[in-house]
Amino acid sequence: VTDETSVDLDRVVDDIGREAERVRAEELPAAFEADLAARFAEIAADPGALARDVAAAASSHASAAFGRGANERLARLARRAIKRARRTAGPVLRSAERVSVDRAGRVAEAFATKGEVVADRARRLTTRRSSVWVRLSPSARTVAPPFGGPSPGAVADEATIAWVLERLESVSGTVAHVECGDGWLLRRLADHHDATGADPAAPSGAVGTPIERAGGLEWLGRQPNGSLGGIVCSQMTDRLRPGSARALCQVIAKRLAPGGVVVVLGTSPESLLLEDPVAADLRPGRSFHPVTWCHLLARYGLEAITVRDPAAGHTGGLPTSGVPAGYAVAAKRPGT
Amino acid sequence: VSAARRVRPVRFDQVIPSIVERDAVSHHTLEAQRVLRSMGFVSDVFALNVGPGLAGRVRPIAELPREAGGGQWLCYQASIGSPAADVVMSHPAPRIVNYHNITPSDLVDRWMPYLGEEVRLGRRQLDQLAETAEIGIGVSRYNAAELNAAGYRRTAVAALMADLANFDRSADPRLRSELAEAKVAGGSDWLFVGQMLPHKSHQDVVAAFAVYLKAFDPAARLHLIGRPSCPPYALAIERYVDALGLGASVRIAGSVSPAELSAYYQAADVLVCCSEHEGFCAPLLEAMHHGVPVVAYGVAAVPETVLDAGVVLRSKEPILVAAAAHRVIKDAALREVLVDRGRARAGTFTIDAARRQFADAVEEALAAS
Repeated sequence: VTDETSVDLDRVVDDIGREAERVRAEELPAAFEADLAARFAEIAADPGALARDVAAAASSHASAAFGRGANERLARLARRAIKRARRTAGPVLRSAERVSVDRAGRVAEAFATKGEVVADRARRLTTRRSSVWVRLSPSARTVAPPFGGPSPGAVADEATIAWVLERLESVSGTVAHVECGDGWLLRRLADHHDATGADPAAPSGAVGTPIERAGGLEWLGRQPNGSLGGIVCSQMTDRLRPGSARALCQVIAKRLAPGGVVVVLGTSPESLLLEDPVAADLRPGRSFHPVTWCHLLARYGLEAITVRDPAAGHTGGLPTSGVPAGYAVAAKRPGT
Repeated sequence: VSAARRVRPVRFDQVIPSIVERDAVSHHTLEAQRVLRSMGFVSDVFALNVGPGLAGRVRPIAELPREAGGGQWLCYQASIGSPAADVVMSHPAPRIVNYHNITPSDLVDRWMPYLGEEVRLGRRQLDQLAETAEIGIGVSRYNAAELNAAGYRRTAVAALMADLANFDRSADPRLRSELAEAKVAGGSDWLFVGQMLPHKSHQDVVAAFAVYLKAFDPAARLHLIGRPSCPPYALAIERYVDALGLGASVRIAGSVSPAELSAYYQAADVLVCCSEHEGFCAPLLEAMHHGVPVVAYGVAAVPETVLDAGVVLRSKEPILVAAAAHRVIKDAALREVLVDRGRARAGTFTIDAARRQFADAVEEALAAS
């Protein structure tokens, strides 16, 4: 069979099969192979539990790192990410060039204090389908139209809503929620402000607050410069096409009145799990990383940028109401 | 066909969802760029996700030019569902598809639901691209057959452009000496190279290795090389190794440098592959190039890649895989034949040959348009 000139591999394989049977019968303990299979089946029975263990290990590592001065390390990571963004991501992320490294460092420090929380979000990673992903692609829309079905409902929990309202507390003038879904936040905004909304699948007469049927960028594009006291963006921020994030920040900066405030609500915790903002932003279907929003908003002259602790208001890393948790970034146009 | 379409294009750009170093499809794409440029086209690579180290060589997809009138063609590198495919489909330029296979969703769904979504989308996009692609190029006959089934009106096979000569550079000396030292103490070295993803079935390699230790060679070592792309799965493999008490014999090395990989290949006595799905499986060729005999489960494109240069099994029962590994390690005559055939087989996948195949497929598409 193993004559060099004419090896018949079929015969070799048959020989191997016979040898395997012999070893199985004579040398292996009974049920040895079955035990091997059972062992792995037991370990792999719950991928979700394994994912939680991975997250716990990451969290523990983050805690340990925090104790050893993670602020500086994260700031260093952010600086490295900015350098990488400059090199790799073209016009959108080249805008990072106009943001000082110090600012990125401060953002990173803010994240460092919340490092454990970020890791905690990993617990839900493998058990949650990426609905954001399905929304993103026109190809996917043939199967799951993003706005063809029921209008999207709430994408933030109560604590996030409170944080948003607080950021907008001091603004005067109209506050717009672009891509506001069924008006879940608009109703709350209307309690405090002259509120208006736009959504590409605006329901008719669902709420007592006007919602115009339009996409976020489209609607903002039609507004006069300096006409809005506040802008809240959600939903659309998770499915922007390449290059559109810059366009969005540009138009926001123009439409806000001096002293006006913008809040960007991201709904996907996946974006927070990736250390590298470039990777978070450019992986298909993942929402933009808050650090990137910080860069972009600063690029267009907005200031007082703050990022919300994504875990506030949740227990055990899971939202109590089934509402997906995410992040929020707020910024202010200079002036009063 | 419009007259404008018959004009030879000036640009022939490529679009790929993500591009990173140490990745076969990414490397292939950069090689394809060289081929297209050598054919006289202006050719850039555009990606949604550009990994570190590729700055300056790859441009963001937002910068993809849109030239109408036949002056530009696109080549889409398809291996996963991505908005990049939508960019290509909505682009006015004629396009070709270079297909690297998409893992069936049922193999990843349980472990990575979001990846399941992406591969399902990838299949849908592959079907949609069939309507307008001038040609579908598979990197294996297996892949080309899938393109035919998806309705591509013209298909070709052009091998993965992997430059095996890269491995001829020196191996990492520290690792090489460490592995050589372990070998002196006795025991053979098993190797598996592949990302830690569920469809790569590392558990089957580990189970076969456990049998091998028990029945054939208690001093053997197993080296698992590959990025832990699915952390829960990688953790399961780690726990499995621990649960079987194999911690001292199994090294989970993760992603390694080319020099380190070369050292592992040089030390290996056998490459064992139990993957559930492979559209080509470059590590099989790499092993053959290094004179490492291959034992592989014969699924998807694996038999086509190995041909008669390795032992291809119809089942991956642990005892069968272990017995096959034992045979190719201990049967010197068989080993010699497999090493010779493997080197010859790997030799047919020269980068020059693959470049020619790709260029021919491109010319075929241009001529037919």
